[in-house]
Amino acid sequence: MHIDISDRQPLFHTGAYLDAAYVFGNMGNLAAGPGAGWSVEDEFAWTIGAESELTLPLPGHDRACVLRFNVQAAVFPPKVPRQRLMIRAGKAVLGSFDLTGRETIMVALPLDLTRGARKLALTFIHPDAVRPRDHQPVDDSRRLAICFHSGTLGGAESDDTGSSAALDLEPVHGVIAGDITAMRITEVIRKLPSLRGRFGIRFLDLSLPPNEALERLPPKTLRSMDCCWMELNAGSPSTRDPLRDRLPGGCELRTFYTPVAKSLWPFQAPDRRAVVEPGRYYPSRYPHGDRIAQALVSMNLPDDVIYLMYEMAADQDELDLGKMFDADLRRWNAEGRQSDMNFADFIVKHFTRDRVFSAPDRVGPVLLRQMVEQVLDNGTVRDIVRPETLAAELDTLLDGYVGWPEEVPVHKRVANHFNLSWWSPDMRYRWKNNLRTHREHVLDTINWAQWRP
Amino acid sequence: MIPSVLIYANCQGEELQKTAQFMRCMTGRLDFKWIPYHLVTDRDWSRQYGSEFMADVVTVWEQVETGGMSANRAELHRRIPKNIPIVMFPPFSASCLWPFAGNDPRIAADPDRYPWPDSIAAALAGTDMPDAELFAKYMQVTTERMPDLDRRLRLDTARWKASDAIADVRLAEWVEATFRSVNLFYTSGHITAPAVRYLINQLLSRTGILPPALTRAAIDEVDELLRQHTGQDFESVPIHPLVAERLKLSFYDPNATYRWHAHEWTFEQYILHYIRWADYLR
Repeated sequence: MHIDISDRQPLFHTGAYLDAAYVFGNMGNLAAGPGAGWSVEDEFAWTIGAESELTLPLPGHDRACVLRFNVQAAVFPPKVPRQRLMIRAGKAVLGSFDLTGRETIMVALPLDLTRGARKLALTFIHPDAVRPRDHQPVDDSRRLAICFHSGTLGGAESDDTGSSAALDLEPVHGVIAGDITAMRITEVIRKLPSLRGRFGIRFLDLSLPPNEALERLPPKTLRSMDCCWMELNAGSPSTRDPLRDRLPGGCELRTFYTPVAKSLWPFQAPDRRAVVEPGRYYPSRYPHGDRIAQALVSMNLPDDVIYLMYEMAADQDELDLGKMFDADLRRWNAEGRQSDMNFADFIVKHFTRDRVFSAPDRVGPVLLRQMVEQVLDNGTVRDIVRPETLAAELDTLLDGYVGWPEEVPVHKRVANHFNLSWWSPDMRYRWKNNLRTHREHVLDTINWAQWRP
Repeated sequence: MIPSVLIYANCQGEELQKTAQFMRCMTGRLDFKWIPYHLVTDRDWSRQYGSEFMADVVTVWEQVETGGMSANRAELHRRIPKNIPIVMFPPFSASCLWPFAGNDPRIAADPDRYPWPDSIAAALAGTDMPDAELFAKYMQVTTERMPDLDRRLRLDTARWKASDAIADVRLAEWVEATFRSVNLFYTSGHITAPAVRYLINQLLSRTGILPPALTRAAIDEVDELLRQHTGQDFESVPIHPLVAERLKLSFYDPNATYRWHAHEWTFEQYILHYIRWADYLR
């Protein structure tokens, strides 16, 4: 549908939830709507006096509708703590409200008012209008009551787009059991529009005791699910096995390992200082230790000198990055053989071009997408949606996706060895709500500097 | 019982609390609590913020609001211990950086997806155009309708000064002198680490119960804790390039990416996602 913004017409059929959208104000799309009793400004419209009239364009369909307005009451506590508002259509009272601030109000429109109608005349009764100048040092003598910002017209069922929708089981549904990666895969699949309501996936947390994890699923999920993906390097046998035992007959079990990379972080090693600091850092202040940084901990030297020493030691370290990568590759291949998904070839193909990992145990955006695609690569999903539709939806959803805010810096020797095209020497790495260069990360690790999440 | 500073503020108060709670020099000496005044309900007052909660409060950091005493603020004053020091501070806010922050009807039905409305983008919703054309249309309309930003800035400045006038901590002069060279805002009400640092240092300096040496130690720790911190950037609304040009924002990088939950988008990407009300990962 093409809309010329210069016409500023109400927007009809604006999405899954809405039949129409209204924007008040001179810059909005309801220029012809307000009748008597309004003071229209650029981005909103005030009702003035005790009564206002509004003609609302309607889409002319024959469904029951809910009308919502986003409004702000003119309140000046304690003298004027509220504004009363009654909405009428002719003699029919649609709703009455006591407004105390900015809020969204909602009225159900009877079908006999809206069936096939192209417009609806509303009357707003607001008996508590006030002059701002009587309450604040402003030169505004208008008698204001309610400021209207925007409105929507939605199907009556649109009240129920949230939690209960999540509880309704789709015709084909299943779970992905695992940890943070499984949770993210679930989030991606649940947000694909073409699968919504037809193919559903829910996350089952394998770090929890089995009964507690299962209780978080909507009722009947376990009994009726068609498929279960299980992340084999998440949880433990004591959380995975009970789930496996309780799968219903006919439920297809597929397994996968989330790949882990060691060769991008060859200096990683446990740090004796890395302990839980209750209320501050969990599992520790710097959970990815660095053996070269550790060797410099006791040096009391300026930062530039310390970092230079770190760089010299890193350059001279007897590393065999090719061997480390081979070990990673062997493990990815072995995990692929032991499960139903193999990512080794994909990782090899993308390793230099894309950020396949952002930390040893955090897959990057491209690998996450590959995992999603392998989960969705089955006949049931292909029957529901064409692959190209799915690909386009993934393109949109993952546009600009950067992964978890837990990125571990990559050393330039590693970047050069693997010819990582996404790497640059001055890039900054996110750790929770902090951004650090490699240098800052190394110095902070050596100094065991505190930081704020 | 460890004495507490009670922070009564919008979400900027959470930044103050989180920063203060991480100061080692305060461990075992002073705790920090936060009542979010934009969220507190009657139920919260009756269940969470009773006499037990208030018993250890020795100072209040109270964010001011213009426009009279709200019922929640009156309730706060009724409950806090009598005669304790109150340090009043203004909220950070900036409307001039996002001049199209008007209305978006979609927010009524889906309030959390893009909570920072753009009225021009909203009016383009449903437009069936390729990305490049749609963005060009947005740029054309916003350029045509760009309001007088100097006037908007004057309005913001007047608001900052009005808040300063009823506060102990003053922000207006610092914000005016800083906001062009240092990014202080991710949205009209979400702030960056430099703003958090400035505010908490001002509050610490005006908190009379703290011995001077402890105040100095705390300020040093704030610097350390926030050195690389990004502030409240989980939802960063990009600034329009014409706004940056007209307001002479020297920190502005037209190619910058802005964090939006698990994504980083350029201005163009953000606008296109917003117009299409596209879902994203959190």
